[in-house]
Amino acid sequence: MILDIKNLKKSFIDGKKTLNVLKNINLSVKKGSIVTIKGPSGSGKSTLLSLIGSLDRPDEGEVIFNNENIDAINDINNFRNEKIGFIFQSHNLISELSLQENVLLPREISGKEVNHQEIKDLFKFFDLDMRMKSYPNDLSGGEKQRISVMRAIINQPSLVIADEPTGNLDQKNVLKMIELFKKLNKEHNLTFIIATHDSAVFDIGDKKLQLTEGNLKKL
Amino acid sequence: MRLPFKIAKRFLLKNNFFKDGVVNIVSFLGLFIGSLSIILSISVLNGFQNILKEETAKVNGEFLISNFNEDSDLTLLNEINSNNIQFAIFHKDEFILSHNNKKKIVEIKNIYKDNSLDFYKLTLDNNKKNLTNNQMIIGASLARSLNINIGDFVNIFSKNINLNSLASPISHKFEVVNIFSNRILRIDDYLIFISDDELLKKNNLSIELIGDIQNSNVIMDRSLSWKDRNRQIFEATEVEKKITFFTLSLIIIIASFNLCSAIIQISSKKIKEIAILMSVGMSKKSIRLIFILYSYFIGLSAITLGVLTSSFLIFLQNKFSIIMLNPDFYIVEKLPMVISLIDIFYVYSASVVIIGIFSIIPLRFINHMSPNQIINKQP
Repeated sequence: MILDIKNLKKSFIDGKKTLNVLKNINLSVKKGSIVTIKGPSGSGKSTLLSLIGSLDRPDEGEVIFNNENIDAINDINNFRNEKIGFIFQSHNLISELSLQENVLLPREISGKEVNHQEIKDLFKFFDLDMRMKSYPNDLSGGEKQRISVMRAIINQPSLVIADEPTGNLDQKNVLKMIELFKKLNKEHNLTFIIATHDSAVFDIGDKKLQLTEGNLKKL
Repeated sequence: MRLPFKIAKRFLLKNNFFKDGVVNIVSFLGLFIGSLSIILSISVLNGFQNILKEETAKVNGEFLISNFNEDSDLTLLNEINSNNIQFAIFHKDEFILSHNNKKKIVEIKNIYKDNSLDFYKLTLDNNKKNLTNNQMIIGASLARSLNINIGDFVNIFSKNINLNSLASPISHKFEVVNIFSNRILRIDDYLIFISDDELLKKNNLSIELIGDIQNSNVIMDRSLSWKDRNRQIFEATEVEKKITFFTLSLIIIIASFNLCSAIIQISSKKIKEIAILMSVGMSKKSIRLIFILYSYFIGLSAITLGVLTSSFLIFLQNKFSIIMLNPDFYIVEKLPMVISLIDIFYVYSASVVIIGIFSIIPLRFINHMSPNQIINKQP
């Protein structure tokens, strides 16, 4: 197992009310699998993904990543940089950096050497090899989202967390993105956890889950 | 450091600086004006301090060695000669000068050997500079106050009132052969040069020096600099420089408030980017560094432009004498301006500290930032 979640709980204070967003989450994810999660808006999908990706901390419970409790990891930035790749609903690219620079951000933060041929190959794999020097504002929504996928996988993470990755895309680009996730999963043995509203994306999961009222149910 | 530097540079330059960066421009102008004012003001104070030094050196040399003994201080004299240092040996004493029933206490510099008088760069009324016994050169202001002209004879008495056999004070008669002018420290109000063997006290000599004494410890150990000899006025000018520096630094501090606003503005605008950088593993320290560097780009470029502009203005003033002064009031005809690297270093150091402090303050929010909420909330 690459990921084991045990008795995870998370609540938020909203005025005088306490919202128990995640009540008791247990989940195991195999390496090389795709886990898809659906649920209504506000059900806690993004919160769950943030806890898995160490962007937030749980109230209770454990997130065990490769047999290590992420709460006990000293350098959480390094963990996030090397082990996790994030894809968000919005492409979230930095408009002042070129596409190549955006993709290389995690690599530069890690301080690892940049192999230019590897980057060219990656851009070719994503069919964007002619746009390496362009800036995010020159691209369409689908292209921007592909760049954010490239940024997520550049450091060859153990796990890619995608939060509504197709939420801002049209049907044609949704299908392209699905094909891309499948290809990355198959050819690079990448593990995905995808939260989505889109049934087509949801259907690519090896494990399909629904998050309702703070609990995960297998479908 | 490389990545924060690159991102900071892009945040500053890739955006429309003039359209979106009014606060940046205001900060830039404030810091530019601040550094310009400091450098120009300090340069004028330096200029007058240099004039003070030069004018003092004309009548007092740059260094003084007291208690010089011609016989026992041969090593010292050899050191002076071997280091090519100009010098004059003299004995200085106070006397009462009398002319036409007017009397005044004066200071007489009795030059040991007449040719030593060339050491002093006196502004004289005529060319007569070689003195024989019973000849003197007196200060212009002193001459005016006692109504003395070149060719007049005056008497000097010892302040100790030595009496002769007729019970009258022993006086020495001198002919005034020249008049010198030097307005610094009112020197020409009391100083007289003579070269008289009879009045010279060889057991109480001093040497004044001009030149580089750094190479000789023997000379250094016994020397008093012009600053030491005029400590009060030198310290007064130094205090004035410090107060000017501090006062004008307030402009930089005020401009740094704007810089603080610029950082708040840019970091609020780039909140999503901050969250993205956190999500890809950049540390909070590196993210803070991006905005601190952003602040330094604006701040140090403004300071540099201020330093360069002020240096250019100083060059223009020294080359073309653009600002003229009335020499009756200011001793010099043109506004003296001198700037040193150490002054520029102080301006940069103070700016680096001030800009650093005002950049860090608004970035404290990054410590408490939760990237997931920002990323999920932003469209």
